[in-house]
Amino acid sequence: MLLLAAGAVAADQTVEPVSIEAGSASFEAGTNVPGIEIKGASSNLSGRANVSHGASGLVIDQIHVTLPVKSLATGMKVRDEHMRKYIFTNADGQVPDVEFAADQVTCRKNGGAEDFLCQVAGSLTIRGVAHAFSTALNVKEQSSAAGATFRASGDGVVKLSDYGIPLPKQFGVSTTDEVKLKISFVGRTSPTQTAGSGGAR
Amino acid sequence: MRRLTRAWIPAPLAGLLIIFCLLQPKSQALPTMIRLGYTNCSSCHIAPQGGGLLNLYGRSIDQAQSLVGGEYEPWQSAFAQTINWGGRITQDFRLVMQQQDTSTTDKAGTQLFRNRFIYRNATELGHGWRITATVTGENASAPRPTLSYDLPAKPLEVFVNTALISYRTGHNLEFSAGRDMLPTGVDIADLSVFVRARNRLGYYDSPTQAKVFWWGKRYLINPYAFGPGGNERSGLHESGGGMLAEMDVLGNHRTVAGMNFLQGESAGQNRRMIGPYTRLGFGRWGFLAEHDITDRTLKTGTLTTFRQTASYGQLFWAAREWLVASLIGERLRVEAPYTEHLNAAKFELAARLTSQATVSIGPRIQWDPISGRITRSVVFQLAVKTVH
Repeated sequence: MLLLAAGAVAADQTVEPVSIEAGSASFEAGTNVPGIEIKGASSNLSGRANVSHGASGLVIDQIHVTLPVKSLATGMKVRDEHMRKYIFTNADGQVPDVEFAADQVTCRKNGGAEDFLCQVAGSLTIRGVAHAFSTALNVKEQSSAAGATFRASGDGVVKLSDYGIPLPKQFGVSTTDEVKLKISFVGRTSPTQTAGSGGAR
Repeated sequence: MRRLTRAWIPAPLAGLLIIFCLLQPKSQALPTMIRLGYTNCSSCHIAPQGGGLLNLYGRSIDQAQSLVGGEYEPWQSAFAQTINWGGRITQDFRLVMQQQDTSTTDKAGTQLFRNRFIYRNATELGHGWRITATVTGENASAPRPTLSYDLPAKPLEVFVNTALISYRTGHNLEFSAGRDMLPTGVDIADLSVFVRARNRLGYYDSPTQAKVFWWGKRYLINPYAFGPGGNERSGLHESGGGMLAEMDVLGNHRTVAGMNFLQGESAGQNRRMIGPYTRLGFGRWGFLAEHDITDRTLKTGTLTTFRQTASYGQLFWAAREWLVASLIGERLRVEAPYTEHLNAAKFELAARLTSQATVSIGPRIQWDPISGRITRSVVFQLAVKTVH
């Protein structure tokens, strides 16, 4: 029995690489003027992570997510240019992608057997400056013959001052220091990988 | 500008544009800006009611939303400082040229070429006080329709649309008194639409009034009281009051819903209007709608009470930041004894070429289900303004 149990745990802990493509990210920044709020979005969020199932839920490690700055749009070309210039351009004139990395996250079950809540804590890098960032991510797992799919969404708050970014100002309208972020994405195991591990789960 | 004239504009029109660009905009009210999260007019306009002159931020948005695009740079010369009283005066000249061709079943077609020359001024007096004036001169008048139950205000070749003194305290509370157009729900620039033309909101309707605007991130409250403007027809010198209130329902800066209540009394008639409206924006497209229910009681002879309902819906799509296409539907119903049924549909294409120049074209068809009469019209408009 013990051997059987040990075997089951080992099978559950099969590590599966998950890739994220065409995820979406959006932000909202308030201003000092009632009626003006700056919103932007991108659907180019991509990344990778390793996923396994532990005794208490889902284990995600080696998370690395990237968002190309040039894909972020507010609906107004000039405003996009201002955003890139005042928020994302570093002292060298470079516009590096926004990146998020975290080592390991344990997600506990949240209601249904395939719903998980993940307290993700890692490092968010904006214009080359890394700063601690945390978010609560809701993950729903769906398994099929083609592999496992993880639908995730979460939000968080970034303080521009944490990255040494002065508050952008345009003709008396300036944004607030806190910017709300929302992300949602679908991560998929690769079909070839799943073929081998699907049975184990 | 060079790129614009080469790529898009025929030589004669380019010449005209260059002349007006050398002058340096009516920034007409643009409720379509809800698509970008601008929930109310005060973000970009000096007056919280909207329409009229733009503030500095508004001018930068106006520039950014044009075909030419780019950064707005305020006019900073010594001459500009002098005529703008060191930045206290915001003013512009605006010319609106409009060609309208109309044909109606069993009637001769008409053509109207109308020019309006408009001067607008907003002068900051300090400590929150401001005076605002708009004066319009025109070659041909465009009064509201003459109805047996409501005559239009008298048109004047030179008309003072706005003469207001305002006091603003803080960022979001303003008191105004003087003459101006009354507050409306969806601030549609076209004054010929049923919701405006049939509710005394025409070009020559500028009642004397006192009003308050109090707004925040998710709300606008605008009570107002009004009296005659002086150019009303006999028996129609109306006094009354009302309240406009709106809120961003979902708190996402894209879903505004509001209501306008108005009650007015004159020697000839009383009217009571209730007008729910909405402005919805979804990035590149959006929807505007207003439905005004007006109960009128005519006091001449025997008391006659009847209801008028006017509806407006506009689905718009910003193909480009500077190019907005709209499909507009309108409906009018007037009860007996003045029974009138009208339906209308319009397509409108508006292009903001520069912050100084906007062109639009709008074919419209209106049909009367009672008489079977169909009216077709097309309006071409070029509006140019100085920007400094």
